[in-house]
Amino acid sequence: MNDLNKLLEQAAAPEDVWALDRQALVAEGHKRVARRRWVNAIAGAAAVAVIATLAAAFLPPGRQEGREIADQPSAGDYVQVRIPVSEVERRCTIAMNMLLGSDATWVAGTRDRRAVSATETGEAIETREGFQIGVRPEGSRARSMVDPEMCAIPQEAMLGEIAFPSKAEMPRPEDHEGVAQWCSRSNGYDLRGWSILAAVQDSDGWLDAVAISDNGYVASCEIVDGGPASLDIESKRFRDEGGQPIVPDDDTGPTDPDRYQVLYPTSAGRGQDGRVEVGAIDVIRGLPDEYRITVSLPDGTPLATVTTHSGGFAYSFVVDDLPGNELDFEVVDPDGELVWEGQLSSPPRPGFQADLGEL
Amino acid sequence: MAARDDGRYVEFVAASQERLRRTAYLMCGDWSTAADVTQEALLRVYVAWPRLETGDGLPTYARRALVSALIDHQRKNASRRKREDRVRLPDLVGDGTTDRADRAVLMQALRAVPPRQRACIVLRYFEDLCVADTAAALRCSEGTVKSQTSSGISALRRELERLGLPDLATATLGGI
Repeated sequence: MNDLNKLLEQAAAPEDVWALDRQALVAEGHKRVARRRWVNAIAGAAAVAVIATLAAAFLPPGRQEGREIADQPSAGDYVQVRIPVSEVERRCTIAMNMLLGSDATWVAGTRDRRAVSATETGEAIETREGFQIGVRPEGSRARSMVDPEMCAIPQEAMLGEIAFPSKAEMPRPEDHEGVAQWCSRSNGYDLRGWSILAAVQDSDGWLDAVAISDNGYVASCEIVDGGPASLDIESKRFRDEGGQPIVPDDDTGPTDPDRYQVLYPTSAGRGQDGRVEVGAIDVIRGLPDEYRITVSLPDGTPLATVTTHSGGFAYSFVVDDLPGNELDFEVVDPDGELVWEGQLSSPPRPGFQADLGEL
Repeated sequence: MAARDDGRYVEFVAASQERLRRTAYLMCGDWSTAADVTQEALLRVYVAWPRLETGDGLPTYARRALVSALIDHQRKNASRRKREDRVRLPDLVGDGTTDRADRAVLMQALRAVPPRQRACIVLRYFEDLCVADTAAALRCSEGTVKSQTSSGISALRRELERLGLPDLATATLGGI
């Protein structure tokens, strides 16, 4: 236990005896479940009717049973691949040395505060291609509270392509093909068949992007000229093979306030000549296409209006000040009807490093 | 749909409520709000109980529900909070020589850390979660957790130093 841990334990030491009334909690829970079921029954009946009609009218025969994609993954599908621990370390060694210009053997295990191969320690480590794992040069001191370098486990076929872009090669956010290309090469994981939902770039050139696979998995990536990148693949699907958003059972549609929580936030903010620069991508699961989102200051000053694509949207702006670091969001449907307004999350404080990928 | 096992849910509440309340307190700095948020989080757990009971994601979901409930609470009370923010907080700084003073100073310093960074610090160093579990609780990427935690620790260190307690900053965060 470190000192911060101890101090937090002390700071949160209860000053009173407190306990919830469990029976009252269960009773209230019953009521809430009953209320949700009632709402779902109405919304679900309407949705099923519409979806069934559309499916019968537009889906080709081979797709109607929903098995085609699962049986034969396309180049744009995400397929989970696990590889042996030794292979993880071999590939990360190639990738890290390529990206950092080092000549080390990179390992994922620790023993006696020294970095050693996880094949020796038997530690359970991440072994999925495309997922991040902490690695250190073999033999280096593993300080417990200092995070190691992160390696997105590369695909074998991408090992020969790993590189980061030069300043001239950095894609613009609207160049989705270029973004997918460099996200793939910088991380050693092929996202070139995926669709870019949104991308945003700050004034220093750092570029954040969120991509979605044909079978509904989402990944965020960050690239910059002349340096290593990062990749995060969400291990749960955002939409099914039919393109329908996967939402909780108790979801009641675009007006459900539970939807408006940022699921895949990346953003960058920094002081710019005393001003505040914010660039962000948010993904709201299940938000239909062509909804318009207006981002405003709490006093009502509009900053950006964007249109959603598969729930994703990007926005950027520079303001003199961001009081309270708060932004208001207003969501309207394609007919201009207001469906939700409120705050998704707080943007970053001015002065944050863009490479930190702050929310 | 799976049947509800209220008995097991009650057991879960008994086992987790105090820890959740303490976590919420560190995130919001107010015991009353922490209790309200904990209750709301556990109600959300109840609604989702049939699909949680069979898996191993129950603690993660509970923490996620706690964070979500706290965000909702702060959103609903945003205007009131803004007014309160303008009121100068009482000077909680002690001489730094006692545990009680350290606790008060830490809570004051934590308040100055942006909410998401504070949540990362609490989940990683109080709940002792790994990066992946913290990311799951906050519904964000692991990279974001790493950077938020790093920035949060820096902000906490700066604040402790600003409060005139560089020794506490060093003693508490020196190894991080």
